[in-house]
Amino acid sequence: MRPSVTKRTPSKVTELSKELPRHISFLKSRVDLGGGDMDWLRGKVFLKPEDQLQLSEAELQEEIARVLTIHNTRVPDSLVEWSWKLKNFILLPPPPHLVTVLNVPGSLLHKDSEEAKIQLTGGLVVDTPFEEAIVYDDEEEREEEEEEEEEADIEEPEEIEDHKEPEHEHEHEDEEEIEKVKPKKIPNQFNFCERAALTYTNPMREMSTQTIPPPTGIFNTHVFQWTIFDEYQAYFAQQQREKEKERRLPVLQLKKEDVKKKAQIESTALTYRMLQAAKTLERMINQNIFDEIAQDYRYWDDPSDEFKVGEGSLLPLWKFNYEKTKKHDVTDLCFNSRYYDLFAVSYGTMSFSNLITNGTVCLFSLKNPSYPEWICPTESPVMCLDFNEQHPHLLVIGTMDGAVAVYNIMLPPTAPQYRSNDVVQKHGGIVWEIHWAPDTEEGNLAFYSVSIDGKINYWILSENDLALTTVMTLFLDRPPIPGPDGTIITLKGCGTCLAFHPADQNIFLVGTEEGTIYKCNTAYSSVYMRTYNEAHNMPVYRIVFNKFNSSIFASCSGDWRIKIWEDDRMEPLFMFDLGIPIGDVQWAPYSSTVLACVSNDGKVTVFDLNINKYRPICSQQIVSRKKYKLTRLAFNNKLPFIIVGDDKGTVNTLKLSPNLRLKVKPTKKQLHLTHRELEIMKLERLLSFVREPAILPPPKDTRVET
Amino acid sequence: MTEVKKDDVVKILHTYPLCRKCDMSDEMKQEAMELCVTAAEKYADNYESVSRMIKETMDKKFGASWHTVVGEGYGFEITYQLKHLLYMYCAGNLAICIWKSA
Repeated sequence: MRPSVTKRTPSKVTELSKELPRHISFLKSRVDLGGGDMDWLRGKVFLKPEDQLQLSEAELQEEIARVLTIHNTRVPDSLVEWSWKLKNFILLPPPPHLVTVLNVPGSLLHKDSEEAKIQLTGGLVVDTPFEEAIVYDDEEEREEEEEEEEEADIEEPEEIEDHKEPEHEHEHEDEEEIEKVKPKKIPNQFNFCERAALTYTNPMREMSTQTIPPPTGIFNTHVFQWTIFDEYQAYFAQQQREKEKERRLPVLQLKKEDVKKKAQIESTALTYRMLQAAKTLERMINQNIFDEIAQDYRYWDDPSDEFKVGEGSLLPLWKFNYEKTKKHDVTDLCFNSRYYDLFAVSYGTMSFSNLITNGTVCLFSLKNPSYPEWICPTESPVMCLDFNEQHPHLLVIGTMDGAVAVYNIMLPPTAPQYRSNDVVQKHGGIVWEIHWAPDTEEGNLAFYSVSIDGKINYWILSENDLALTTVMTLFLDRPPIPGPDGTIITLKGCGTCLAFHPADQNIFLVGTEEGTIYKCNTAYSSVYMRTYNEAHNMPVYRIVFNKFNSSIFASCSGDWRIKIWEDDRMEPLFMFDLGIPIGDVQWAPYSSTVLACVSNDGKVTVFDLNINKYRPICSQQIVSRKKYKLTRLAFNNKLPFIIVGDDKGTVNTLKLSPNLRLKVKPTKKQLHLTHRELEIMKLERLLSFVREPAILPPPKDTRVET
Repeated sequence: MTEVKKDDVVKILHTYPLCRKCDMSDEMKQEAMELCVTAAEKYADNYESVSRMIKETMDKKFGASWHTVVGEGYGFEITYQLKHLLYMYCAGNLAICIWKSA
């Protein structure tokens, strides 16, 4: 649509001449414009090209009319094309005058136009006839949405644009509905808003890596034949030196083993904690199972005792046994000095025809009657044991093969802390009794043992091993007899029991199988301080000192008798014949006059000399007479109960009824005295009745003067 | 007596490889030393061949730019890439220095 100013065709030659006057007139008109106001520019002279056409005024004034035609000079007017069909050029129709350079459909509508009217009334354009039904439904909602639509005005133009074409198709169909809808607001410059979002454009980054060159070093040296030789020599010499040091290598290997051991220790620590938890649980269960017994153990006292004067009874409580020692005899019992409810039981054998060749030491707690706390199997039957008073974790045992061993019960019972040497340091026979001795002057622990070989040994626990001293050899007071090939043998007594004087730790009593009791002193190893010949007719099984008066001691024997002796008196003060071998006798820790014994017929017999000097105050069958024998007995130091062991590996707990544990009632004058003093006085009073003066003083001669 | 002793000392002939300086990893060191011994035995009369063999094998096994000096007596100062230096004696009279420097 370019309007051409002039007809310009190459064929028209006169064009230039026609145009020139027009230029001039144009220039002239410019000058005229300046007119009168431009007086100050008067001196100005227009420069003209030399060949400019000179025109007169009249020519310049001449009007030349301009005609605009639609004829486009650029358009070729006679385009032809060769037609192969006609073999001739044929004229093509002139190209159209219209050239579309850009076609942008507008989004605006005039409000008077048909489309605008439809949109104003809210007509929604439906693309497909299928959705017509939906349109109907939407109509109702649309009214409700009016307010929302006002807000969403911006979206309207888009909708309009989108649906422009289809709307024409549905114009007529929609007309009826459109009329019902209210007119819409048209966005204008005052009622227009546009929403847009500007997203964040991530800034460009440049990434690059600069590497560090590999580190380098400088090395310099020089080498000659002789330096090579020297170096070889030096190296060879060093090799020789290292060979000498190779002996140390085994030590290093040992260290590796240590590391393994450490790991083992750690794992055992873990299992130890598990065991602790399991143990607690086990005790809880046992407490529930044996709840009645536990109540009796603490609180029940036989009420009938009030009406039985001078008689008491024993209440059986728990029974302790261990499955693997059912065939063993209980050979010794000992309470721990620190935990009153913990006691050790040694399992061995008393009859020597028995085929049992091994033994066991078990620790039981009253809190767990079903299983031992600590089990230590030994190669030989254990015959005796003793807890240390000051170090309650140390337990010493003596075995049938004559060996002694010290165990730390805080450690697992795998190996003893100390063990006597099997070859040079041992007894020649059964170790019948073992007792801790007071610590040595150097602070080492020590103990005594008595054995059937007639020796009393003193053992000192040094750092690594046991040191042995034979304190006494029990030679019999008989002439030596001839041996097998001309030798002469001095007969030795077979020690069976041992008791240390509570007050004087050097003095001790030894009972023998011959029935003799020897009073000895550790200071003299060959001389007896006193010999109680024929104290018993059968082996002495136990000698015990009274807990309150250290000059009084009791002994029991296989000759059915219990004898109570006073020091320095050859004849016993009391003698009880039970008609059955007596395995063990013990003084009560709470009374100076009470002693208990166990006999082979399964009875526990309790005497209180203060109440009855001739008969026991209690004699009770504990186990079946036919099946079992009772072997050992121990008083608890804190609570009124005893434990007795039998020959089937069972330990019975028996509670003493009130009548068996009568204490002295102090009179008004004696209120200031302690229990111990009262007990001593009670015993003393009793003894004064039975003592016969050693020598009867003859009546004084008096001169009668007549 | 002293002369006899002296003879005894001389008689000991060391031909084993003796590492003088090395900062290689153990694996590389072991391989390099074995290679040097093999090369020195293979071309006992031609040190140039020895060094060529060592260099080319090391290049193949541990990457390019290895340098090797083989000789009975020489002095040098080198810049080497750390962890890639071996200076050893071999066969009793040879000093072999191999290093990497890219």
